[in-house]
Amino acid sequence: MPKTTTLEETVEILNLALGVEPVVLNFVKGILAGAQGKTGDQFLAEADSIWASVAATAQAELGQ
Amino acid sequence: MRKRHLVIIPVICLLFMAIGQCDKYQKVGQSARDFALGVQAFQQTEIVLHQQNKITDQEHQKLETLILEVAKTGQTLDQAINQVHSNPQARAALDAAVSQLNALLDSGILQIKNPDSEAQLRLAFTSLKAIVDQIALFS
Repeated sequence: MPKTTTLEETVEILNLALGVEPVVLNFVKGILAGAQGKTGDQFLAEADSIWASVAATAQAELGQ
Repeated sequence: MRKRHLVIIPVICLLFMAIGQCDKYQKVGQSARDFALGVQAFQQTEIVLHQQNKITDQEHQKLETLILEVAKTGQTLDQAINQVHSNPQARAALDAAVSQLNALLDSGILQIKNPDSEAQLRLAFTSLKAIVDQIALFS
């Protein structure tokens, strides 16, 4: 006779899954960073730096 | 045994979801960086054309003012992508970026009197529009 999952077991499973998620995310981020060079955060930081440079150049050209 | 399967399956699902989200976030980040690089290249081209007197002082002032607005919008877009990893703030920032680019085209590039300068900047502009369209596909 197949055993049915109790509510207690379901909660335990969800807790396990939720507890694992940050570890999994960091692991995947690490793999992607290693395999493809940069993470999304690193690309965005680079973009911010470029925008700051563009804005500074524009202000200089405008004499502000 | 059955209980172990019930743990492993959701974890595997989460792993695939995490890979999908990280990959998407990385691609949006890369497109955002490419957008900034594209605007910077556009700005450098515009400055060189101005130095060569192929763009008037008035046109130069107008274009740099519009580029400054695009840069501010670009920073807002990056913050929205970083903070919410997409919708709906990123969508609003993206719409603002598209609006700024349209202003750059209509009020800036299309008003340049020198046809060669206009053609050069219009070419640089085309790549900017393509990158923003790519960001829109992810968000």
